[in-house]
Amino acid sequence: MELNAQLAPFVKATIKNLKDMLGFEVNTGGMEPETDEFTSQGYTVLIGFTGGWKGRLILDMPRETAMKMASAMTGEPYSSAGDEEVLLSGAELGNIIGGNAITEINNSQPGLQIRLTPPSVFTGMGMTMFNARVNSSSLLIKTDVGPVKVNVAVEGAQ
Amino acid sequence: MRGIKADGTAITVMAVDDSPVSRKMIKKALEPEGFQVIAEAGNGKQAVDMYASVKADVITMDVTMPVMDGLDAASAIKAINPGQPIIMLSAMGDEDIINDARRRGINDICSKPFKPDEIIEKILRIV
Amino acid sequence: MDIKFINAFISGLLNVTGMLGLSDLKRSGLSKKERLEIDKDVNILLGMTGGMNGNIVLSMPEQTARNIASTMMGGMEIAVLDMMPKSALCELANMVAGNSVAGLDADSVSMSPPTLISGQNIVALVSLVETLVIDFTAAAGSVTMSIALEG
Repeated sequence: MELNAQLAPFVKATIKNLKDMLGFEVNTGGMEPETDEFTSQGYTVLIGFTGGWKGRLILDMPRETAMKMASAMTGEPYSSAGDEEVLLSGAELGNIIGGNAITEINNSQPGLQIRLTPPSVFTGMGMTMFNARVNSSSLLIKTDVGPVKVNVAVEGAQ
Repeated sequence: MRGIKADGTAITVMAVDDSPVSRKMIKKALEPEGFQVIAEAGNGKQAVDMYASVKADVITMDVTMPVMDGLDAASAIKAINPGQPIIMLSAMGDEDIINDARRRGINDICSKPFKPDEIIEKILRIV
Repeated sequence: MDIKFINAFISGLLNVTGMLGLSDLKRSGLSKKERLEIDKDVNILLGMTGGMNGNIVLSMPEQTARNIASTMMGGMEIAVLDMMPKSALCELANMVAGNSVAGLDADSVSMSPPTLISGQNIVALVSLVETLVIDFTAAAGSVTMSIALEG
């Protein structure tokens, strides 16, 4: 399945950042449609957007992956995904990936003027993220430190 | 050790970013090369307040921060000392933000994520 | 954070819950925290940009979420927090945020669609900025509204 117009820029930014910033090897799978409920692998970064697209970006991964990703960013070891620096690393990763993606979207489609809301990071057991009447699409990216799912929901998107 | 000046002293840096993780990443990129991060501020206002007593060779300035953003902080610092080198670090590279940064006299722009070599070269070009 | 701002959010929540039949809801606490953290099982989060930039979160235990959704849905019994009650709670958050911001005549605030995050043993960090935390209590249970504005 081809990536849809909403998911593609976020996938591109995620791959670029995992490679450039963290030096990871990445492999991508195909696009997976989701329902209005997204099931987390244990750790999720959520950023809303407003403007021409209303919706949200989720970067989701197992807790172990989140800890390793944070270690790659700060150079320090972590033993819990709930550690403040692990949560802050996810927020920073989300800011960078979200910022890169909407910069590309806004520069290529100036009328949209998409803005990001500040990121939030959740970790827990059996977590789901629900958006009323908005279906989302995901793409799984396999990295050296585990699977990262990029999920985008935009109101009114196909 | 590109962070050491000809006289043997370190090039000093003030890192301004609301994310402690991001400040850690800046240190991780610069300190192995001998740069010294001598001050850290969590928002633009803290940076401007700190600027009264701390003089660094270069300031790395995030854009989106609470209380006072990096663009306003850069303007305030340039008003005190027009010669202060400032590098903007931002994940938001919209053309209007970049143009705004240039108008305010920000010396260079480095997009996040930065590669250590990229930020080091940009710092060496302006200090 | 001035009193006008705090009052707008308190009356925003009370106006909306009153209209939806939760008229016994009362404010039971008001505090400021250094950051927005969450430790409840059901959270509805909504982001804002423009004249106000930040996040609003309504947090509650799952039982309270089912009780509130049940009241909103005309007393229908809610055994499982599935799609229908979740939609109702997202709508509640939308209305509360909209009503609160309207009371502030802030310039051009845009809101992202609400996301309901549920699970067990949730630990979350939403923001590192000063956060206004308002607690409400009713027979249905307790609800916490957290508001973190970045600027």
